[in-house]
Amino acid sequence: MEIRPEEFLTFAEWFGPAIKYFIIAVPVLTFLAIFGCFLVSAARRGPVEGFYAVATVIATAIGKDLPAASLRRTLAIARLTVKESIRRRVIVSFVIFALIFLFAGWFLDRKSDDPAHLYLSFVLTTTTYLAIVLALFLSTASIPADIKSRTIYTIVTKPVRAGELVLGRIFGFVAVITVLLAVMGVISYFFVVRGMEHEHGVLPEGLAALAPVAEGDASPGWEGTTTMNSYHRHSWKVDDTGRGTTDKIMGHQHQVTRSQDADPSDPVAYEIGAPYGALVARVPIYGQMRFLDSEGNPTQKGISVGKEWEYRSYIEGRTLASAIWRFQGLSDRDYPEYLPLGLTLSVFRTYKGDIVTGVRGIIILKSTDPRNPIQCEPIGFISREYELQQLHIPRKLRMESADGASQREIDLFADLVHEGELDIIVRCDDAVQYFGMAQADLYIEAPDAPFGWNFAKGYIGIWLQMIIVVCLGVMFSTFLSTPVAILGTMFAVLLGFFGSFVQDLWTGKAWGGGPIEALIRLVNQDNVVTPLQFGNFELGVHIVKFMDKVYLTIVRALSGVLPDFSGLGRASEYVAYSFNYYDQLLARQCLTTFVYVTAIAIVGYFFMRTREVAA
Amino acid sequence: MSSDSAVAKRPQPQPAPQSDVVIETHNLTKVYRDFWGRQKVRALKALDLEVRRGEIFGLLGPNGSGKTTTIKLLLGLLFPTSGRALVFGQDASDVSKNERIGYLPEESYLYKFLNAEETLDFYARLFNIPAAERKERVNRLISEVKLDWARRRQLKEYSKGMTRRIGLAQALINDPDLILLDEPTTGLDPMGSREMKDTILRLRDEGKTVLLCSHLLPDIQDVCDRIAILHSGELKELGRIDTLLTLQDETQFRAKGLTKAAEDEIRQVIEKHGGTLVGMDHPTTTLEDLFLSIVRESEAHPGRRAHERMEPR
Ligand SMILES: Nc1ncnc2c1ncn2[C@@H]1O[C@H](COP(=O)(O)OP(=O)(O)OP(=O)(O)O)[C@@H](O)[C@H]1O
Ligand SMILES: [Mg+2]
Repeated sequence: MEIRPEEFLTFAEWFGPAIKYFIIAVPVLTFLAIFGCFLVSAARRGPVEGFYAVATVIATAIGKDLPAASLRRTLAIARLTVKESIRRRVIVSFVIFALIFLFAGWFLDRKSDDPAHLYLSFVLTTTTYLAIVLALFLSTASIPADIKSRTIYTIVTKPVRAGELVLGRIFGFVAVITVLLAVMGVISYFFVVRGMEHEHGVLPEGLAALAPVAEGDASPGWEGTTTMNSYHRHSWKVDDTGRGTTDKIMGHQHQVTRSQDADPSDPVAYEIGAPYGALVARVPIYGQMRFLDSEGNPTQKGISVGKEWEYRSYIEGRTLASAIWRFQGLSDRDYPEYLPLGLTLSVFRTYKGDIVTGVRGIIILKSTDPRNPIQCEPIGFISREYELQQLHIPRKLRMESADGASQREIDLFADLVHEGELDIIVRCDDAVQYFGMAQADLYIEAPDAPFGWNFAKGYIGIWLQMIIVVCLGVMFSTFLSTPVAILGTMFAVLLGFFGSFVQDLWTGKAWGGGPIEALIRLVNQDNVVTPLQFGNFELGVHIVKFMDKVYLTIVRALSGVLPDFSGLGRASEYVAYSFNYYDQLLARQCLTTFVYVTAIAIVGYFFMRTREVAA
Repeated sequence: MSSDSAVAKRPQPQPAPQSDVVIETHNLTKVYRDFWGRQKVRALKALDLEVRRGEIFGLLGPNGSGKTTTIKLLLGLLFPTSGRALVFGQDASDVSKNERIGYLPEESYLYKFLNAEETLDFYARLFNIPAAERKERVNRLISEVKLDWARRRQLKEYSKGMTRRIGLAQALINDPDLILLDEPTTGLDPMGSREMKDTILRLRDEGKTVLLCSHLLPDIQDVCDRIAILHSGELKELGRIDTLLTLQDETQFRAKGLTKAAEDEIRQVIEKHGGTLVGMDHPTTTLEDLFLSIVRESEAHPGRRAHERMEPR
């Protein structure tokens, strides 16, 4: 999983630019919307009448309907919506959900290296898709059905404002979906936890006393292996008191205990505890990253090694080129024994070398204190490509004295960490090999966050997505029939999912061109990087490019306005990859959703208000 | 925005606040258009009406004459193509007027998955009625429309007449000042339609205004104070029902307890004027006759008002 650059921002850092964008975007969009309405209205009845009509609608909206808005009526509609959903369709989705989970156990690959990820991404994706489909069909059905069956006549002839109708529907569906998601969440939670559960016994064969450290000492403990369960076995060690752990397999470990006064050579005396460590919420603390070039001067980025899609920057081995992360807010209370680092690197080899052992690198910890910028002796490591490496930096480090003649021992926190800040420098230690790194590649592992709450945050992320789907569905259904409203909502959601891709297509960052160009390439079986050609017919190329540009401009404008669904779905990804989803990000998403709900509801109000329901 | 915007035309001088006029239409016209904005039906042509407080006003006309269209325009369910409709002096598109309106649609368009109690409770919640009173009203209305025995059954199990009854209860939930009833007696049994008519009369006695439309002439004749007859969207006749049904050029006498001499004297007077005494009265025609003659007339001469006579006030 890659952390996106915008996800590093804190709430405060994000809020400023967001509110600026908001303050600019809202009036512009409002003006465009009003102008669009005026054009439609003017086309129907002439400019003066059209202007008058639009002005009156806006005036009544602000002057009459807004002050008269009533929570009581909105809730009455919401209650009706809930009742309707219960008495009609919703139960079916529960049955589907239950069935999927009943049979899923058979299809999930229990031999996987990371069963927790498998289980988590399974439940989260299943819930997301099921909930999207449900939200889509529920929300787009209600208002068109009311209009078709004309029950709407008895509603709008009561003092119900169009806005209350729209909001009441939204509230009702959100309530239904909330309960549904809560139930699904609880079921999923137990499904995952149960899925991780298994027991091991101890095999008599491997059981042996550990060899003493020095000749003549007593044995420091015992080691052994467990039985094969859930497609894996562990090996384990206990100390002379009979306590220990297994090794980490498939992301988890077990506690091993020997019952008191039992014979250590008896396999029955050992008890292997419940698995732990599989379902976690790791809390990476990210630092601010910068680069030094091979002469040791600050530089914007490292070297590009010619991979176009690479988001990492490269540093050359055996030079002063370095990647430096500055971490903040470190305190010895959180790390009493060692500083746990998580490191993911990509390696670019200019020669094959010893492909098995990997390229060597060094880590240097340096104080940020300008008056005393001491640093520790380099700590060596062997890189494992693209794989998360967990390194434990001990509290006791060594430092070379100024003359380089002797070394003394320093404490990581007492000597190097200055006001909670620390620089960590990574260099490549093999000549003419390169390390590729990005900001998220090195982090300090803070103590784990509670898994349950993280899981809940994953579901809150899904919930926010559902709220937006419901709003879009209700909004489209105020002026479209159910099938068309479903299509419209789906289009909006898809555009929201692929918004950033569309952006890249437009700016030319992504290859292959717009839809027409892509189609031509598909038919011709062209490579995406060769220039588009029709023999000598150059004008044709221009026409195709122009039409694509027009299309992409429209789509880009739309996707800029629509909610960013892939961003809202990020909570699930974090959870599935066992990362703690930041509360700050969640707060941002909640606020963004709230803004979208308001905007969509207002649009829905105007469509409903100007609709001639009996026509 | 949809074809006709929700707004009315230019603001016009509001009628005097204490006006007795509850419904007013000026030149009200409705043209139904298809998706492309092409004209389909001229359902209502330049209707001018006035309904006063405390009267029962009947809209009469054959099928497709524009009765329902008129009611929908008054409720803001349709937007007028031209002209305007005022209810309580406010434009028909103004939602706040609905606080004082009750509406029984042509067919009862209610939520089939609710039962009688829930239905009324739901509609009551759309008005500002305190919870205790809401409960009381729901119970009272259910017994008024005689559905106590079926109050817990979902409306999808209801017969047509039962749905009609709950529809009426729904229209009265807010104790409205103006009640619009679209063919109130269809689907009701004779007792039911008698009860419906009694209810309408009782509402009038309580000082409410009722506008109903129907093509069931006996109903109209029984309850309405004034009627308007529509034919293919045009107003053909408007006036007090007793005046309309009185044949002013005929006089009918019928007397009791007169002496022979007095009778002879009267007969002589009649004979002196060249007549023959049959009885003495202004006979009334039936509404049916009036209605049929108007419809025939207007089919023969479309566009002409049947009898150009002054509307008695
Ligand atoms: N939604 C509509 N779209 C197009 N035309 C319509 C629509 N509703 C009604 N009409 C037409 O308008 C005319 C008047 O219809 P309206 O429903 O007002 O008649 P009505 O007097 O209520 O008749 P009935 O006694 O059958 O209820 C009819 O010709 C009808 O076909
Ligand atoms: Mg009708």
